[in-house]
Amino acid sequence: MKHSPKLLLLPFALTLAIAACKPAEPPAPAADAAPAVPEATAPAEAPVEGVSGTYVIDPNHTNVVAQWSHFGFSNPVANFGQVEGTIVYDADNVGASSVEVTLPLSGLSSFATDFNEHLSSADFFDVAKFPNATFKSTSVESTGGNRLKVTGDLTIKDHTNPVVLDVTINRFAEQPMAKRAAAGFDATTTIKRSDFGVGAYAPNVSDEVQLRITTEAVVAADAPAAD
Amino acid sequence: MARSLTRLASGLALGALATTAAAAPLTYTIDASHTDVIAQWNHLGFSNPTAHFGQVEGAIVYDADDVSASSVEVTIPLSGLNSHVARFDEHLRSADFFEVETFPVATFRSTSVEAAGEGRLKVSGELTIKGTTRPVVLDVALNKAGPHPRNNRPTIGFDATATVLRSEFGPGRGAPAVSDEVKIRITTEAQAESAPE
Repeated sequence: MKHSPKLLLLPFALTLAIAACKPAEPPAPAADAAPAVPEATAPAEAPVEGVSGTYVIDPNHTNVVAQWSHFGFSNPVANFGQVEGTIVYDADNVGASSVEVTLPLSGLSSFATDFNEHLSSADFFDVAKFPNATFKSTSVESTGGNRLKVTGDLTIKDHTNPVVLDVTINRFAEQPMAKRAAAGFDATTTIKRSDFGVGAYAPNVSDEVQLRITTEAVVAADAPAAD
Repeated sequence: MARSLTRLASGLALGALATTAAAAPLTYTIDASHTDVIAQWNHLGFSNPTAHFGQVEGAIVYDADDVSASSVEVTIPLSGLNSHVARFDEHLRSADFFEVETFPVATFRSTSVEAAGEGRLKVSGELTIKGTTRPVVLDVALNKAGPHPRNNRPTIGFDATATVLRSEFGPGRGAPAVSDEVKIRITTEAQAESAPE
């Protein structure tokens, strides 16, 4: 499987979409802001050939990055780490694929310790009561060009709402160190944090939060060899 | 005298609910708790991990009427490096990569600022990592300029992007399977001194 150089070509235009300042207006929603990280993936020239399997998410190579707007001035990010979960991929029938992940909120990391504490408190995630967030897909469709549309239920605190992930398949190949089949994906979506009970300080701090996910997953060590 | 003129300018700008930053160069101190430098690379073609560099210190001199009179200088302590994977942070700090004990900070100092369209700037400057200095060009967007709702101080916010080849600065290990190209994205807020009463 070739390592597509296109993966490294980021559409910079996306990161330069900010209009001139207008302090009298409410801050621009996060959706208008530069993405937390530039879009890392463009559709590959050739279709990435899928390999069926049950892939276990590698928490050390998985980031879930949230980005929002702070009074319209900056676009901060926080990272949800230590993600666990499974991706079941059916190369012959993509619609039979599924994904289920758990995000332990102990893995939540912003850029400042006191902000981490604030986020963990009852003002926001109330981590003592709700230690995990979860996502479970309800449908997976191919949308062409190594892209998938993954619909599923996102649960944060005691709120569950459907979200749609725009997914790009990065690669299916043997992981060179694990020497087992592996898969890599990127995904994006935008949610309204108030839908999940973490809406404090909106709209000055934007209600809209962009989520950008990158993940590698590897078949389990005791899984039968693929194909 | 210069100080009160600057304050007068700020006052006039704020009084008019200016849609741009104060006229004449104004020095804004970077707010480290609302500034983030995010690096992203490609890992074996599978994923596009990120790490961030926090605790950024520095100042932005910004002149809305003559952006070429603007400048920026920042210091990034590598103790603020966070990849969200503890073992990888240790590896990054080691001599294999940033050698943080010997080179505790990275710095960026602008050499020129040009307008690049409405609300956009091209900032050229010198980035120093591990004692190696290379020119880098930042594509900058001005998000907003105006009084901060919390303390009324003149505040500006920018986003900026650039791409570097990490091998040019030393930490090139693992390339190209782990990409040499690193995309950098910066978001920052900076505040000037209190506006006059």
